[in-house]
Amino acid sequence: MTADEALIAVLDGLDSVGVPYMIVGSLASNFHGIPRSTRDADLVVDLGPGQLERLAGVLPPALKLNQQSAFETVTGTTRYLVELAGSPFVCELFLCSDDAHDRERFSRRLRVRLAERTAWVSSAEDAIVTKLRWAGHVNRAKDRDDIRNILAVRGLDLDWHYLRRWSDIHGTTPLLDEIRASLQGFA
Amino acid sequence: MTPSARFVNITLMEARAAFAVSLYAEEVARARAMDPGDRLLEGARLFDRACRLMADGIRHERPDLDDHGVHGLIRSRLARLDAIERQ
Repeated sequence: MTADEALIAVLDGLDSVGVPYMIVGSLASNFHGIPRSTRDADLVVDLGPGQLERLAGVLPPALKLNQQSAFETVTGTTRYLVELAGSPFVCELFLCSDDAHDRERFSRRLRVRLAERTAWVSSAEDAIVTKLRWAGHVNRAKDRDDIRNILAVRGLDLDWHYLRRWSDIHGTTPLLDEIRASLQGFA
Repeated sequence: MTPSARFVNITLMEARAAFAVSLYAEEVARARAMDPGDRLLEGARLFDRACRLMADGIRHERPDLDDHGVHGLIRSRLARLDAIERQ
């Protein structure tokens, strides 16, 4: 099973068990920006009682859901890992938290076409707001590049009022302005 | 540096900067032309391709390793790359 097939199988599993989810992280950045290689598929899930066990039961044998949760220190959320046999590729299932932006981005998620099916993806604005937020915690060049690429590809077709509202709350407006200024006419 | 050498140097820097902007503009145009769903899945496909290339390289360097050993080495190299990125 390839990494993209693994992702689709996890999405199918979530749909069949009835778990609301959205694709976030670098895959969401790819959807709205310029594609780059990524070793993990990040999903935010709103798990109900018993759904984790049912999900483990419907996944194909090549995918192993580790039902032991882990605490993600950067995002402050709980996550579960789905590992693909014979590959370092993983799907990370982050529980939707009570954080105000986490709740709002979940309510704004987009239903999109993905490989002959539909899937839920974080909006472009929310992908940027989240990347800006975590860029302050872990200074990775690829997070800045992802933000830059979404701004360049989407251009002015973004809800700047929404972006500015959250970047002001998170104190990331200077970084947003700095990245935007580096684009020289793309956004 | 003589004034003429400085002039050539500045002109070269400007030309490189303009070239970088035009390359990025091409990259943006290519991304805009792609289906967004394909752009999303491309992240996983590129990773698969990178892993296959890494595995080929490791097998060339270390013909003594079996598949399990090759995958173990890929994982440790990726972990090292993650650590470098987070520094």
